[in-house]
Amino acid sequence: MDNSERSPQLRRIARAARWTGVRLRLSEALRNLVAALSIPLVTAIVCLAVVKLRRLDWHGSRPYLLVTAVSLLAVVAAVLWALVRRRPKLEGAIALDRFHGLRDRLANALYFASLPPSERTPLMDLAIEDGCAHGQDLAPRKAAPIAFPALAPLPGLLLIALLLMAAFEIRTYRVQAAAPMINKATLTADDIDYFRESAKAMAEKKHDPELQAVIDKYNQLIDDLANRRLTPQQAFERMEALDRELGKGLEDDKKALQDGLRRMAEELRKSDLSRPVAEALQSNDLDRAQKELRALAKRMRERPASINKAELDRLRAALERASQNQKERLAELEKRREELAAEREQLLKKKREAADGGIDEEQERLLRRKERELERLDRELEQQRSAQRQLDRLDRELSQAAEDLMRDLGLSAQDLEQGAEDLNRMGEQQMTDQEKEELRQRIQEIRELMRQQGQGGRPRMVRLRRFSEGARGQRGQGGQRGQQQQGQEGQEGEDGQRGENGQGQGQGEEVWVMGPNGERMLVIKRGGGSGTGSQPGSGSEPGGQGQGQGGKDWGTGHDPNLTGKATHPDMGTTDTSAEAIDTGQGPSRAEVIAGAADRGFVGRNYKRVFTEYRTVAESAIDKEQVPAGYRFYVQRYFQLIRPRE
Amino acid sequence: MTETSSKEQTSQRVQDFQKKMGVLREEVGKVIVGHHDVVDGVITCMLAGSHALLEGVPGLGKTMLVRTLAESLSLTFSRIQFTPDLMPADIIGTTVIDETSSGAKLFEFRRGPIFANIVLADEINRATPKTQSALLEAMQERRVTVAKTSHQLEPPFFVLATQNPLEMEGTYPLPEAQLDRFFLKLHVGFPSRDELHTILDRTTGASDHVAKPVLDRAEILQMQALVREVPVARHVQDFAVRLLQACHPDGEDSPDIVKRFVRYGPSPRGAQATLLAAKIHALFDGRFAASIDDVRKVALPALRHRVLLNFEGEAEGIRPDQVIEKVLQKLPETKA
Repeated sequence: MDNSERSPQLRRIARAARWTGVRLRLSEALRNLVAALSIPLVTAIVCLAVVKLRRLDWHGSRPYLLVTAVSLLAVVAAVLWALVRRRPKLEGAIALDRFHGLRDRLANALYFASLPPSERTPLMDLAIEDGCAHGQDLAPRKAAPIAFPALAPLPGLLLIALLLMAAFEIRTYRVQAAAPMINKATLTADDIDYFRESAKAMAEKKHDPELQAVIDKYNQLIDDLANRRLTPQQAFERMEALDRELGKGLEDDKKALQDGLRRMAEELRKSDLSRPVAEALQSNDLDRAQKELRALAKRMRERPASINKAELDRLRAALERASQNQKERLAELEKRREELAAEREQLLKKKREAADGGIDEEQERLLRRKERELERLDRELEQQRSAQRQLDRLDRELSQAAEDLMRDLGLSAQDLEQGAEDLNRMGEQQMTDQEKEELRQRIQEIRELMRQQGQGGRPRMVRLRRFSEGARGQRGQGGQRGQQQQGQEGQEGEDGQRGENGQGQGQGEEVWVMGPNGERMLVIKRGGGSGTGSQPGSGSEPGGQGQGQGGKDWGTGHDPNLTGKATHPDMGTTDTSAEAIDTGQGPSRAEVIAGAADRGFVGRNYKRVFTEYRTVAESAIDKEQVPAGYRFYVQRYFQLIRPRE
Repeated sequence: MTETSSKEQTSQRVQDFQKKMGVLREEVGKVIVGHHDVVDGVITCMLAGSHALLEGVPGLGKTMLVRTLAESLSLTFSRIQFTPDLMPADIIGTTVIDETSSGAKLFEFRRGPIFANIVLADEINRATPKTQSALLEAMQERRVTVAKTSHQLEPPFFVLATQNPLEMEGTYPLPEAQLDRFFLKLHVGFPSRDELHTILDRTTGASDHVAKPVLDRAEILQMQALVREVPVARHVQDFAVRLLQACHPDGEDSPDIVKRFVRYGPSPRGAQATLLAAKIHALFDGRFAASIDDVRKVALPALRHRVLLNFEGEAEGIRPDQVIEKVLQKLPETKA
């Protein structure tokens, strides 16, 4: 066999060897694929288990998904490694040799054929020919079968496990979130009582229908708050509506009116006849001003001779100026406002014209100042107009009086009577305004209370309620009235647990001790208590073990052995009153206050002490410059410690 | 033209080789029953120009095998029975004072039994290490030196040594350096039932089977030359190298059994012996180049006496054959 004969055969052998090598490579890739598939599947199973057990949401599951995705890269890497890694030379030929039992004849032939001819020995040539002779019917497919990997069932089983895991439901017993409770606006019973009382006091007075309607709405608001029918938002909206109805800017209007009256007073002061009226107006005492004006009218009507012409002239002039003054000021304001508006328009026009380049900073600042001034003038004008509306009639009457003054004093007196009537009406209006202001003050207090409760939250409400119960003597602390201990002292008991919404009964201990000046002082110690109610209280330690003998006050209940006829209702009675002599032997203030802390804010003595203290406090608030906010706190403090029935 | 004739000649030489081998096997087979692997192994050693160590219990025909082989070849043969009192001079010879016909006296070297083509060192492990060492130079250098005079041994020269693995009393195990000089170590196993029948038939009857020479010295040297010409492809040689490395405890592809129980692996002589034996095996098979299968076939006799077990391996009763078989089982045939 020469070279030309064996070359095609060698090529055929080489081709078969290459193809066998490729099949070996593919086979390994398949094996790697199957083996590596287990990695992401196991990872996915573990991750899915973790996600399900920990009940993670989509966001929480993302890291686990990422891990699973990364583990998929292991499969890709394993397959790529099998496909691209360097494999042994003649691997395919050796596989063919093994399959066909050729004892490396093909591999040897290919190897020796790859050597340069000069290096080949005769035995090598013989080996090549031997390989060619045996390499006839080669079967690469059989030599390198791409078989189903033995590990193939494993990924299948893992896949099934994954699907089962995905289908497996881990039930989560979630506590259904309770429907959000509407947070009702709540006020303590004390506050409700306070506001009810203030409303009641206002309702007792006579009012115009408008104010009465507002008071009715205020009462309804208090009722709703007491019955917890409103959310805080609703409560605030209702209060805002009431505020609007009571009229915002009342203070400003009132001030403008007072200014108008004061200016009027300055003119009227120039006449001796109208000076008392002027002084009353100056001090904003409309009632006195009204009386003085009526007195002047009466004098003009009844004793016209007592008034000389010069005085009448001065009065007329004063009345005319007084009536004109306000109008002039209003006109002046109107004029100034119009000027300012014109200036602003001019600046705005300039600004529009120079829109692309803009106006310089100086003009811009000027424009802003003009606008601010214009706004101020608008407000002032509005106030003046409001005051003018109230003063308008008085102005007319004063002007009419001035006109009639020289013609007929009677007519003038009548005009002045009308003016007095106007002042009376303004005074009443002022009274109404005061009530409105008081009502607004109450509303502001409600608002402040609700705001504080919103900040303090439920604990604050609980504390307030506890305080209220204590103040009413409903807590199971303190000694029961009439069970004063005078016998053997017992061990001191600790506080009983608070019983809510119930009536508490407690046994305490009152001890008389010697004061610093040798006087006897009553000290009341805490005792064991028990509460009955929705949440029963219980004393952690027993109360004192003393044996009481009698008490200072009357007992409660009656002797069941007593029998007798009931008192006839129609029996004649005589009301008699007797005033006792204060012997000064009652309890001291300190004793009263200390007793109130335990027994509640009840009793005649406490009421006396409270009244004294509150009077002093109110006086101090009126006299001193106490800020409104602090004033509210003082008032609220006294409201909270007020005597209870 | 020249190339074609050369190939034809070579092909003819290979065919002659096979033919002569067949004749030799047949001739030995007339006396020796069975033990084909051992016979092939001994012939392999002879063709490789090296030496063989036969190990087997007494009475299995080791000496008979060697003697028969020697009779089948037209070569000189000597047999040395190793005993504890055997001295080196008893093997290599000694210088004596001789008187010539003229009456002059001179020193004359009297050759020992080592001066033969085939030397049977029977029960070699019974001699002392000093005497065993006397064989070292002869086996490796193919010459002996006495009184500063070297005497070349005539080729072909090969030593066939036998040893008894059972009797340890009064024996001197061969040192590692000497073991390494044996090309193959052949285990002479117990004959099968049929082989025993044949042995009995031949040895207890009236006829006496005697081998006659079928190969002369020149033919043997030609065959030895042909063996050296057998080419080996790189992947086959690579397999032999990796096989050798895998038998070392610190080898790259060493299986656990090697790492655990082997103290020293085979020396490079082991790879030489493996590859040379694989070539001869290929020629036996009528092929022109060695294959991985040939390497596998000869790996056990070529490496078993070169694998030294550690204390743990000996304590566990591990045999070197187990180690080599495990290596052959685990070792991939190809590697990038």
